Amino acid sequence: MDCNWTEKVSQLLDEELSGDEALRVEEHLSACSVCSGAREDFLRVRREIKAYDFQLEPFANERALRDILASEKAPFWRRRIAVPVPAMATLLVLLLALGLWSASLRIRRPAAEGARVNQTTEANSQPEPGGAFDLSRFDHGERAAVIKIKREQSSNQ
Amino acid sequence: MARDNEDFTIIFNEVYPGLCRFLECFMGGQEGALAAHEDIAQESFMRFYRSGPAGLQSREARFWLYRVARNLALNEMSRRHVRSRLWSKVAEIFNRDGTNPAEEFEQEERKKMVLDLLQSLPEYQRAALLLREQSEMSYREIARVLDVSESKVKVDIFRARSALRSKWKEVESAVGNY
Repeated sequence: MDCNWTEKVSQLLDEELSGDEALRVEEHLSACSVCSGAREDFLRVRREIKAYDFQLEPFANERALRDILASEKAPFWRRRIAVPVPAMATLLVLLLALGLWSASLRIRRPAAEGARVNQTTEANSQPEPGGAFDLSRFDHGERAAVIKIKREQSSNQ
Repeated sequence: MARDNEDFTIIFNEVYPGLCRFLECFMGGQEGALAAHEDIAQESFMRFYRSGPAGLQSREARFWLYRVARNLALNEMSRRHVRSRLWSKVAEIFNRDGTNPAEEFEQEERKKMVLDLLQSLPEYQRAALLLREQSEMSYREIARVLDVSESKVKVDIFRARSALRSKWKEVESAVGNY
């Protein structure tokens, strides 16, 4: 025979019930012979398991500890680091923010530089009287001068 | 390094005996398991020392060690291959003190009965119950070690207790009839 409350009795023994719930189960226990019998048996199971006689061999502790300490530790770069989840999350958010900030800087800088270059080229690129650009400023006038001469020769012909 | 070793020694002294007892009860029925539990406990600590997460507090380290030890024990049990420990057996024989043989026999029989009854439980129920009764962990802590939900732990412990309760009664009535 079983009672629906027997599972609660198990939790009561483990102190896993809230105060109110524990009180209700205690009340039930005083009225239910099935559950009070179950409590006795569960307590007995507990006693038997707790009383399990266990003895380590003499000096087993010391020997095991000595062996472990004598073993070689992994280098620090191969060890995992225990970081609490909130700390890890904060770190990730900070890294992400830093990444976004540096990316936005990179995007902004070329645009500004491009604008500056455009301004200087516009200022320097005054049209020649003939309508053509003066190409000599690109290669110190060497190849541009040759092209200019050829162009003049062809126009004269 | 000296500080590390000091911290490790504190954790070791706190956890090692309990872990050995847990493993002995957990693996009890397996052939050769009584000799293997110390090896597994030592291997768990070895892993913790050599490459375990650095900077863990004692409590966290306990969860980590129990989880690793249980997994190692499960592997060992599934392989059913346990190293023989001749020297420990020999030492056991030589270290026996002069207790009353009848008393000793009774104690051994009782231990064997507890182990046999525990072995009759499914592995996950047995682990949950042992962590609760021997290591006195809360449901939440057990759930962390076994990597299951708290509600499963609650149910498993209840089922384990109920099963042991009825099996104990069976054994008692059999002994009474005998």
